[in-house]
Amino acid sequence: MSGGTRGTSRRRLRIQIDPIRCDGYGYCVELLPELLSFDDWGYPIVNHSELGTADEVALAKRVEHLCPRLAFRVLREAKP
Amino acid sequence: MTILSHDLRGVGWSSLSRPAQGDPTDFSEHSRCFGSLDLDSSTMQPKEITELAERWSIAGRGGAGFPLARKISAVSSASRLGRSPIVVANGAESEPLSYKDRVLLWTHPHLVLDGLELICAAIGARESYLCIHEDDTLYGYLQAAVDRRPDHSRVPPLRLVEIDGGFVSGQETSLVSFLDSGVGQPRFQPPRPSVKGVRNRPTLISNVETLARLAQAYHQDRSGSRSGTLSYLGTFWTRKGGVVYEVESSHSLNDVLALSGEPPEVELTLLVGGYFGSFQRISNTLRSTPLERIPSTSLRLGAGVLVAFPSDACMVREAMRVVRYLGSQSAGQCGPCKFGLPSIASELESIVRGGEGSIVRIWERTRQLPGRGACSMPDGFSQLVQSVLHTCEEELDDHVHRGCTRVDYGIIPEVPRVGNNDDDAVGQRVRRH
Ligand code: SF4
Ligand code: SF4
Repeated sequence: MSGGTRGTSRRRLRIQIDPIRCDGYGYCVELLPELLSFDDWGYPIVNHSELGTADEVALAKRVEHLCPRLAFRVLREAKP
Repeated sequence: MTILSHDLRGVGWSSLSRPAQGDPTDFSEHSRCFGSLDLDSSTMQPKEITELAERWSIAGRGGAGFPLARKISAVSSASRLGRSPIVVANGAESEPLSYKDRVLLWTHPHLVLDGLELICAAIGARESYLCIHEDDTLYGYLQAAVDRRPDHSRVPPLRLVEIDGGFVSGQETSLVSFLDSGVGQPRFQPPRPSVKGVRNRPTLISNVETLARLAQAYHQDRSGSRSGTLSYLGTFWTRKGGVVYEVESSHSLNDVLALSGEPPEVELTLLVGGYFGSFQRISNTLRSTPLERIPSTSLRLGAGVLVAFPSDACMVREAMRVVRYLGSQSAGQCGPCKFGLPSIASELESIVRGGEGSIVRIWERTRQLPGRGACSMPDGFSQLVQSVLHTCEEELDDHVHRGCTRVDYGIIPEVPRVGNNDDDAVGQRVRRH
């Protein structure tokens, strides 16, 4: 993974896609190819759900706004 | 240890819709046999009931095996925020090959209702539901049983609900959506039904056998045994038909197989766990090991569905019917499920028919499915198909290269019965008490 620094806060950011809402427009896969890929039917597979770098966090937040179906979400979770 | 008063072991297929003996809706006979509930007791608290469930190791009998105690705790802590909880007894088994819950409701309706009332009283539920498949006779029968029970201030009103629908209708979130709107579609979790269920209230959904086991534990507890293991129900199929059996955990698969009255096959292939289970070749050791000592990684009985196939059976054609049915049962909400399941099913079908299907492609596609739906449909489907590829490697190869000479016994039906009315699988109706 490139650029940015690892988050040091006690919260962890994680990607979640609601499969009912998602219609496979694919903005998420285009913008976060290191974390997501397309399946055989054109829907996003989350290969790595945890957001590590600041770049990833910024991109994921953009996807959250772009996703036309509001299916893509960045969840904040307390670190275990 | 025979715990149920009527031993269900070997109940014949033809008698499935009739009570074993006497009139099981008779409440006084039931309490003479099992004892009655002391709902006034100060010990009717969530903690007491979870301890009881823990002592008797009661786990969900709908297939998932989730510990009941944890479910009760989750719902009772969610309801501490002031929203009174709802309890749903799920008797609408959606596994097409499972009949044990229906048999249980016919033979021991009051044991199920005991369990339901115990939980309601302990967690302070204000409403409860009992969901069954659409079936006029059973509906009337259960209504009679409910009417014969004594009123109690801690027992909330019960609504009997008939559900008709496809395979996923038994999923917890689709039951919630059915009770809310009359249409049963799975929902994306979280929030789990235990936090936000029916009408957004904390909802405990429990399989009817689980409830009956809780009641059994309660009655035994009060008669002096403080802990133990309870037996469980399942449905066993051979080419001769099906029986609902009851086994104890000290029994082995051989004990179940003996119910068919035929010498078991030397090379045994089973469908373990039904449409959401897996095809497995069973070794002799596994066959004679007591069920309690078999790790769940080697045998996942789920709701106890077992199908035994003769050794000359064409497993590929049997398996294909399972896969094709599942492939048609996606609720069509999630892309990977809606498109993935049918695409894999038709790929397999094409292999079976000697066409162009590719086993490698099936492997690749099944690997893309787990975790990709709002419910566990894609996961269950993927696991089942992979088990077919593992178990039927040889037969698949024959189908591709030589043509198959095995016998298609048709043990897995072309179109399975779901519920008791075959003709209107889409119509859904709710009847309320
Ligand atoms: S951008 Fe949203 S709708 Fe599009 S594929 Fe990603 S999650 Fe699905
Ligand atoms: S995974 Fe399939 S069955 Fe489950 S909700 Fe999604 S589309 Fe429906």
